[in-house]
Order: sequence, then structure tokens, then C-alpha cells
Amino acid sequence: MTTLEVAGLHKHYGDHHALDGIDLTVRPGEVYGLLGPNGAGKTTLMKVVLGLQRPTSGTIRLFGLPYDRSLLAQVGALVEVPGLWQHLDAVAHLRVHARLRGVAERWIDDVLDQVRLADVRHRAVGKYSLGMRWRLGIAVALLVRPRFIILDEPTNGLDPVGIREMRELIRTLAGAGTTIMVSSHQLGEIAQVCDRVGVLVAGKTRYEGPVDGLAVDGDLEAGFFRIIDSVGGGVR
Amino acid sequence: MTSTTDTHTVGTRDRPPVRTVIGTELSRLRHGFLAWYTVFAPVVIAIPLYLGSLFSPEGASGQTWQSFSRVTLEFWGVLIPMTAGLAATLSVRADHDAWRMLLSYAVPRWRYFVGKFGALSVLSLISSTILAVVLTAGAALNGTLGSATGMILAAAYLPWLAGLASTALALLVAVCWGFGPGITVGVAGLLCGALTADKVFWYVIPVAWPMRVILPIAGIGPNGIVLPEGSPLANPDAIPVALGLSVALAAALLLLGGRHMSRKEI
Repeated sequence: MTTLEVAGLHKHYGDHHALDGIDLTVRPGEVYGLLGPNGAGKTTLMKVVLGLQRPTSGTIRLFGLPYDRSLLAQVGALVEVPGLWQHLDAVAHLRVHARLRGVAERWIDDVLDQVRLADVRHRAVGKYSLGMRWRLGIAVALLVRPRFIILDEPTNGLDPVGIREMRELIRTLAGAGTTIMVSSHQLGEIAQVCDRVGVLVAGKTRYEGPVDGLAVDGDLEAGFFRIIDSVGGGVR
Repeated sequence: MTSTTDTHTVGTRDRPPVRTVIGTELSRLRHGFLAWYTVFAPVVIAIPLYLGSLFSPEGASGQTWQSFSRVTLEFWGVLIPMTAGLAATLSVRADHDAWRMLLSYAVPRWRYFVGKFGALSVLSLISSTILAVVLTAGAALNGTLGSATGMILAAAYLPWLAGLASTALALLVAVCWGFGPGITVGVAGLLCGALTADKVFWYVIPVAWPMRVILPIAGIGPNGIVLPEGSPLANPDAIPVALGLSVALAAALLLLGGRHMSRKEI
């Protein structure tokens, strides 16, 4: 059984083909990296998987089952920006999501510890740094103890310490059996945390496989750019 | 992190009852501007109007309560749709970024729309109750509490019912088209309440319904002036019509809004 299986996925906005036949497979328990230049379709793919966008065509299977929104009850996600309410504190945020998702409020303390926000749990989010906001967004995603977590550029705005903590968190979650899909522009980060990667360029899957398989003579960046250059830089 | 394998059951996950969704909406709204607005709008309107009535010619002739209640309810009639537009728009705007998270859940999306409508209705009900308290205080100060109680309760709660359609309409517009159009519903309500509630076609203008209900209750025209003897505007038959229309339209708009949310792409 796969955690996520995408086949021939298209998403068109008029003449623009944001996804132009994506195929990829995420296996249970792995950390899957989604790479690609801006506009490659990474965020659109995540949105389609999360039901935030409707696909034009193609199929998605979640947890081995035909796609159904009810399966999203086992998914946690953070896409584009953490959607936070400025005047609420972390606990109030998590309480809202816990009640909506039907999970025990006692789990709130666990996730706050996980993302290292326990000390500022009662501070209004408007006073949080960018990194703290991202960590709270991830805490919301973790709240349901999901089988599958989708993180869109989770190291955006984080300082080096925050990036390292994020890497450790991803690894810890993966070690506990959670499947993770993470997109990033930072090849080095992907290389350190991911088991396999998919490279999207111009809405198509150009590579899928182990991180090492992407490298050319051990150089990950060279391999990445070779793929992008092979399709004219991925500019559409 | 604790083991994930024991917590993957779907069960009631992502299936909050509507009352829970309303509760989460209220828990967010109670910290912001709308909470203050809900509590203080009736007070801020009524106190100056009471003082104005006290020192007006009507006040000097012992008609303070009559003057105070008329002018307060005149304001209230146009404020209900204006508040509906403002509250719906601010509430939707506050969720702008959060939709990505909320709509990625398996929660049936129509519940977000109904929950938001429910929460806004609760806030306006609280506001109406505070208005009733303020009016009661005004009546008590003038020794007319006994005879005014029925009118006060009717004037506080029946326009609230008549305003439910305005809330649903403003909410749908704000969800579909955003801030400007949502506020426009409120401004249109303010103008229509004052300009069209006394017209024969009042029933086709939902935002005028709260004011139309107030007219026979308070015995005033939309300009706050006492209705002449035998005025058709004083006929209370319009009240159940307005209330029925409001509830029916609100229900229809909730269906539309729920459907829109279910198809919404972000």
C-alpha cells in the first residue's frame, strides 16, 4: 500500500497548465522531498492533494484508497503560510483546531513541546517572530497525530537553528512512522532529511527516486540543474 | 511524539457538530474588535440619545422616554444591516489565511459557513439583549417600565430575527467577493433601512426588513417621526411577513453559502 499515489494529474487554469501530468508515489514511513523551481507546480500539487484545488484530470489515491475528502482526517498540512489569527495565543489556536478536528485538548501540550513553543504558549501570535509562526503552523498540522504530513517550504523564514530543529522534527516524526512530504528550494536540506525525491519542472515529474540518484558525480545541485536545463530552465 | 499508530482512527475525527463550529468561531471573535462592538454599540448609541432626549423639548414636557425610545430604535433599525455587513466582512477577512488550513480538513465545509452565520447571529443577539437592557434602564428612569416592557422586548428581538437574512446575505457576499462588496451590503442596508422601509416594495429589500419591523413596534417612520393616526406603517401585519421572509431567505442563503464553501478553491 502507498501513502500517496498520483497518476496523470493535470490542473489547468485556462491555457496555463500548472500540473501537466504529474506521476509520483509516496511510500509509508518515508520522507519524500518535492523539488522544483518556482512555478513548477509543487504548491499546486499539494493543494490538489489537500482538496484545496480540484484537479482537471488524473487520479489520486490516499492510503491505498481512491481519493475521498474523508481521508484528509488522517492528514496534517502546512501550505504556503501558517493561517493564524493575530490576537489569539498558541493554546487558543490549537484549541480551535482540536475542537474542529475532534482530538483531545490534552494533546496540545505535546505539540507545543514538540515545536518548542511551550514557553510562549500564552503570548498573542501577533507578537511571534516569523519562525515561531511557522512552528505554530506545524504544531497545528501535528495536532491530529496524522499518518501523513504535507509541509510546503517549512524552513521558510527560519534561522539556522530553526532549520536544524525543523530537520530534527521531521526525522523524529518519520522515526515514529509518520509519512512526510516536504517541498523545499534548499537542495541541501532535502538531501539531509529525505529518503526519496520528486523533481517537478513545468508541471511534470522529471525525476523520482532516491536522493543519491539525482546527483551527478556526487553533486546534487549539478543533477538538479541538469534536469531543469534539459527542459529549457523550466520557464513557461 | 507519542506513537502515531494508536491514534489514526477516523471515528468522529473532522466531524464537529455545528454547535462546536459555532463555539470555535465565537472563541475567535470574542478577542477582537467585534466583541467590543457587540457590547458597546448599543450603549454608545443609547447614552448620548438619552441625554439628548432628556434636554430636548420633548424631555422638558415629560416625554423623555418616548423621544429616547423612538430615536434609539430609528438608529437601531439601520444599524442592524450595517452591523451585519461589517461583522460578516471582518469575520471572513480574519480567516483569510486560515482557510488553507481549515479547508484542508475533512470537516464538511458547509459547517464553516453555517458556523460563522451562527456565531454572528449569537453576537447580534447579545447586542440586541444589551439594547433591551439599555432601553429598560431608560424606561425605568422615566417611570414607564411597566407599560414599555412588551415594546422593549419586541423592539430588541424581532428586528434581530428580521436581520438574520442580512447577516446571511452579507456573509455570502463577503465569502464570495471579499471585503468591499461585504461592506457594501452593510452600507446598502443602512441606506435602504432609512429610505425604503416605508415603501410598498419593502419586502423585496432584505436589508430593509429590520427597520420595517421596528416601524409598527415603535410607532415611527424611518425618519424617527411619530406615525400619524391610521398610518398603514403602524399595521403590525407586516411583522410576521418580514420575519417569515427573513428566516426563509436566511435558510436559502445558508444553502447557497454551504454549497459555495464546498466548491471553494484557494
